[in-house]
Amino acid sequence: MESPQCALITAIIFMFINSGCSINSYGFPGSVEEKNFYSDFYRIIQTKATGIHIDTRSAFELHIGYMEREIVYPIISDDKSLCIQQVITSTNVEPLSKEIIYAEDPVKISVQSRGARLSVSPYSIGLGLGLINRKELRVSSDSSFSMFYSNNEQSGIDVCAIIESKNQGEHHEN
Amino acid sequence: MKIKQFSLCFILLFGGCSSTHLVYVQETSMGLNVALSADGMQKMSLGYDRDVYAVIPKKGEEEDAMALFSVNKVDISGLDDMDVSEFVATGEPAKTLAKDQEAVSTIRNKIYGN
Repeated sequence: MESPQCALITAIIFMFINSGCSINSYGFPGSVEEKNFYSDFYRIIQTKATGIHIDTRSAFELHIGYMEREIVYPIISDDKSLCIQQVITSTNVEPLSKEIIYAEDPVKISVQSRGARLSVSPYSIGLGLGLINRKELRVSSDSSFSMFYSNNEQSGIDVCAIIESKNQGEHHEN
Repeated sequence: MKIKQFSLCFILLFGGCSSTHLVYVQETSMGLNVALSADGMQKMSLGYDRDVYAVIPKKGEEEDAMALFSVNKVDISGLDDMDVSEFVATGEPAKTLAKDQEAVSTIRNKIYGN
């Protein structure tokens, strides 16, 4: 290979590394920050990434620029009225089981992206350039599911998400 | 496994097959935004755009797509700022709520803060 081509490839690789690359929660220091919240009624993953970021969990997503994402996973339970009771009574209802099982498929995905974005999921393909604020709810048509979600600035995040047990999810002991 | 899943996505999307999931989207964009959904819905916008849409799974002529109950409130104070309060139920919980007017009123008051 001739030296100008080598120099160009080296420069491109250097640019990529310097811009910060990350995949899911792994990446160069400072390029990605992830927080996991576990509760009796939900699991939330919040991610902030700068530079080039690839996510393969909720879909295949490629972001170049700045990105903030929140993914909500429900718990699997046969008590279908748990969230309804919690909302109606406005009190913390005790889950029936001590063992919490989190669903593997997310039900709510919120993304704020500044820069370029490519998203491929079983439901859609999206391509964006600029600023995008997207909130998506995904529910299987044959599922029994209930969710209360509130991200009010004053009261903070209040979530309850329950889906009936069909497939095994991720186990978590209380 | 992931490669198989994404290959399937492309086959589904370009083969014109329908989704088995209800997908409800609220989207605000500034710039270029292009989207193609599994049921063939296409979208392209340049500049400012605000969209609320749903992809509903298709069933037979005499079949219901699904039972869904939803109350939601969205406060938008800027391109980046979206406060959401919502309650969504599908399947059995939705059918139960549809018969309970008092519970529906309580949920509505909780969401709208009355």
